[in-house]
Amino acid sequence: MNIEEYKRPEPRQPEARLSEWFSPTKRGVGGWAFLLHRLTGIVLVFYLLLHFSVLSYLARGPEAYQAALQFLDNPLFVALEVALIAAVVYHGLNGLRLLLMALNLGVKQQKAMFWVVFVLSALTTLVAAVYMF
Amino acid sequence: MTSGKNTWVWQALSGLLLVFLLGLHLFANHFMADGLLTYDDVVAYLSNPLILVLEVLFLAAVLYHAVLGVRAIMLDRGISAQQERTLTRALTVVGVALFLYGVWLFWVILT
Repeated sequence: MNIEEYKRPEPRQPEARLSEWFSPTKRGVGGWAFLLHRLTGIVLVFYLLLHFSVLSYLARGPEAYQAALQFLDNPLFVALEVALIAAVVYHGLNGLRLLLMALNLGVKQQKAMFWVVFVLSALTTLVAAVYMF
Repeated sequence: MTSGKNTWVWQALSGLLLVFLLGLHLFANHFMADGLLTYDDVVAYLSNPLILVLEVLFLAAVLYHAVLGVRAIMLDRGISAQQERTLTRALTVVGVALFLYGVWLFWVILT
């Protein structure tokens, strides 16, 4: 397979160069949705690795696990967890939006669906933040 | 790992699966097991066979989805066919290694 054969449901953006990822020009709502999807995806990959490394303290026994949890029990990490929730919820909901579009459902409503995704993500994050702090 | 032009189908299907598995993972962790804030709670949690199956499935699905996602981003950066083969192999090794590490961790905790 070469790069020309690679297909995905979203209209293609000229993103071969990293600097073009952040270009505000020639980018519609769908383009911003896609950029956010990628950025949150990258964040989630890093979180996954972090999650592995925190849980690896379990292999060193109860005291090590307790010490790791104690280290994480402060407002900075709670704030990061709130940001994590925002990334997860956005990525999940927008993923469902992309799936609908791939099934040729709601393609004309893709902008409206983005705003639904955005508002639901914001509300969920807000509720989680209130609950956690 | 799946190669070919329909990779995004697998990305979408594993993503849909993750909506359910992550939902169950979070619900079980935070509302059934109360946050797993002690080692003993983790042992008790994983001693439930249904939970163990859920967590192993979740581990596999999340790694598969993450690896495909990283691969899609790298492909969009524009790489040669040879680089793509190397990348696919490297990501497969990383994904399988992390899966085995996770399973090993479950095993260590339970024994």
